[in-house]
Amino acid sequence: MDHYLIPRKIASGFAACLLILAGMHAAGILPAARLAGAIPVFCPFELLTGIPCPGCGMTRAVLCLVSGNPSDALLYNPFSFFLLTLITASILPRRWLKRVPTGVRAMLPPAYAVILGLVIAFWIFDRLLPALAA
Amino acid sequence: MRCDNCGNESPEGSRFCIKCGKEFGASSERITVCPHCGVQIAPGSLFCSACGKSIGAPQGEVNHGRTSQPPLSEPPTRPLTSNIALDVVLSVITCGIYWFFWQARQMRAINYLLGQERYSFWLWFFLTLITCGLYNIYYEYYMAQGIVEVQDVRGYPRSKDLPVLSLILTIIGLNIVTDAIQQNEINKIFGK
Repeated sequence: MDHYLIPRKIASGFAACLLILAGMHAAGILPAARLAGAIPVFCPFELLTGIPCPGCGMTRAVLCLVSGNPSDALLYNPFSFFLLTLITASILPRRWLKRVPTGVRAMLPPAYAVILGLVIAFWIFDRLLPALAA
Repeated sequence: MRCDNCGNESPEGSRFCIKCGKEFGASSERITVCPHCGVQIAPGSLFCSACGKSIGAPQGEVNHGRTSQPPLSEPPTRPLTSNIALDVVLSVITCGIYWFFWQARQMRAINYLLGQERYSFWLWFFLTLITCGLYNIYYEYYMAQGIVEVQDVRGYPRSKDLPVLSLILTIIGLNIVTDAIQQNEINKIFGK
C-alpha cells in the first residue's frame, strides 16, 4: 500500500483555507504580518509551565507563510514547512508519486518516524533546554 | 449429527463426516456478518443480502487469517458519522468547545465498531485537562490504533501510517487536522 498521506478531500480543504487567507492578505483585508507579531500566548502548556510546546508558533508561522514571508515562518515554527509539504503532496495526483525514482521511494516508509524524531529533538534542544537554562 | 454436505448421520462430536469427509463446523468459520453493513447473512454468501456489496473480496492490505467478523450490536440512536468540514468550522468558531463533542462522537463510533467500551470521554477529558493537553497527544495515537484495528477486523484497507502521522500532527499542534483525518477513516468504515 502507498505511504499514507492526508486524504485529498481534507488536504484540499486546508489548502483552500490557506489560499483564502493569502488572498485576504493580498487584498489588504488581513494584516497577517502585524497579526503574527501580536498574537498572545494561548497554548495551555506554555501558559502553565512557561516552556513553549513543539506546536507553539504554528499560528504565527502560518500567518507569515500566507503573507509571503517564509524566513520568519521558519523561525516561528519550522514544521510549518512540513505541514505545507504534506498538504501539497496530498493534493498532487497519486500517479505523480509513482514517477518518483525507486531509490527515493525506498526511503519514504521510515520518513514519518524520522520526522517524529526531528519534532522531539527540536522540542528538547530548541525549546526545552533553553527555557530551563534561562 | 447431520452433515450439511451429504446429509449422512455421523456420531455426536465427530470432526469430519464419516461418509463424505467434510469438516463439521467449517461453514461457521466463514463470514456470517456483512463487513460493510454488519447485517447477518447466510454462510457462503458472495454478496450481502441487505446492502448488496461483495463479501468475498475486500481490497487492499487486509488480514487474511480472519474471515468472520464480530456482529455489531444495535446502532446507537445518536449519529456516529459527520460532515468533516462542518466539524472543523464549528470547532474553530466555538474556540474549541465543539471539538469536545466531536471527540466524544468519535469515541462512541470506535467503541461501537470494536464492540467494547475502550475509549472513555470523561477519562480523556480529565487526563487532558490535568496534563494541559499532553495526554491528548497519546490519545490521538491510541485512537488511530483503534481505527486501524477496526479496519483490520472489518476487512478494510489499513491505514498503517495513521498512528504515527496522528502523533506528529498532534505534537506540532494540529489536532484539528488529525481529527479530520481520523473522522474521514471512520466515515469510510460506515460507508459514508
